Amino acid sequence: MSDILKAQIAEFITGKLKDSGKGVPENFDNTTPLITSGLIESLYLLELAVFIEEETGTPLDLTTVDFTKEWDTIDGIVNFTHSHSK
Amino acid sequence: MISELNKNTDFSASFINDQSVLPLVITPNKENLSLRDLFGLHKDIIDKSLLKYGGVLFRGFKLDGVDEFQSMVEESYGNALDYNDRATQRSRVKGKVFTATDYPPDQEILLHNESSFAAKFPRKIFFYSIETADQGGETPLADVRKVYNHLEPSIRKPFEDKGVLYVRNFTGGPFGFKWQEVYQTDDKSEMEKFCSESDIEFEWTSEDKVKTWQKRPATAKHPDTGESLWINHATVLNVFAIEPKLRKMMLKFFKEKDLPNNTFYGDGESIDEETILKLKKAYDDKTVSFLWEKGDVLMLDNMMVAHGRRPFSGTRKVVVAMAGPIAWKELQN
Repeated sequence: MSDILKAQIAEFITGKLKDSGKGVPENFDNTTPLITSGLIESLYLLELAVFIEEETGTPLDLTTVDFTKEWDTIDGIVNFTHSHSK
Repeated sequence: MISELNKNTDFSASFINDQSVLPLVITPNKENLSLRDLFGLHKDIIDKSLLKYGGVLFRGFKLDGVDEFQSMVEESYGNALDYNDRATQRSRVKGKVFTATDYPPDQEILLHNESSFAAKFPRKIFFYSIETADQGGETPLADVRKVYNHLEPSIRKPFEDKGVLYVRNFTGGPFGFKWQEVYQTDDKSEMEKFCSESDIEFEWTSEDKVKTWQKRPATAKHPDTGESLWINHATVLNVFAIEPKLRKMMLKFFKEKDLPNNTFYGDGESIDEETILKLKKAYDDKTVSFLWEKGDVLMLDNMMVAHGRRPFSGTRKVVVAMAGPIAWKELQN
């Protein structure tokens, strides 16, 4: 489940990077910093959260999220998703 | 007026299509006529045309890069303006020329009159198309004289009576802005001075987070023509302007009072979703758009015409320069 979700999130993010004209970094993987590196726009975090809820079918609890710390990598996002799905 | 314009030998005037008189399109009749020279020769008639139509698109003129673009603006309309009290991500290209926006390309920016939430805003805004998108990327326009008249009086009147309250939270998180970006300083005392001088109330909610309130009119009389204008950011900065799924997600993260941007009636009362949708529709009903061509320069009377940005693919580079500041205090509404 985690690996599938990671792949889905990676596809979502690389799609956004291509669309935005930024392109995908060469060594992009599940540990690549997304927010602290300025790689993805903040607006895409909300789109990503919507995407994750739709894919998992479970609402996310974002009331206490620290995006910069907890959503900075795909690994982090998936860990957060598993621990904060309502 | 268009036949009068076409009496000169230097340029021809037409409209962008059969359905709209905005923008007026001016093209050269002579090879290699520079836009700078056109303004030197015909500024009076250009200004008259701008007051009538609200926007003029110059197509096919020689213009040699952003330096000449800024010079052209400054020779005709005084010093180009800096971009302070920011509402969009914008990069300085050179001097006082900025990217129109750095907002993600797949997102739409709703119509607004540049900086109309600020204490002072530009009378004129110039866009210069350096690279065109593969698809989309139009700068849609709406004549806000028409928007004003098109709005139901029951929608318009509370805004005319109370104005608009802009509430902003600069939290430094991944959403919205840092106050340092908005006010272009790292010095808190400078930021506080700017706010005080600009009728912006502020409250530090923590060491590096600040909340601001600024109340402005929603309408104005044009200083030259006396026409009524719908001129504000009430729609574009309101929470109901955000796409519903994203809004729902955003409200999971932010309490409503802590949103990066939101708008209220001037007395602090919430603006309901139906009203925002009607305001958005009024703009949409009066919107015209055209595809950019490389080298195009669009000049808008920023009080008469609102602009936005359509999503695009490919590389799009449109830069802006602004001129002719006017303060809300100088205007009647």
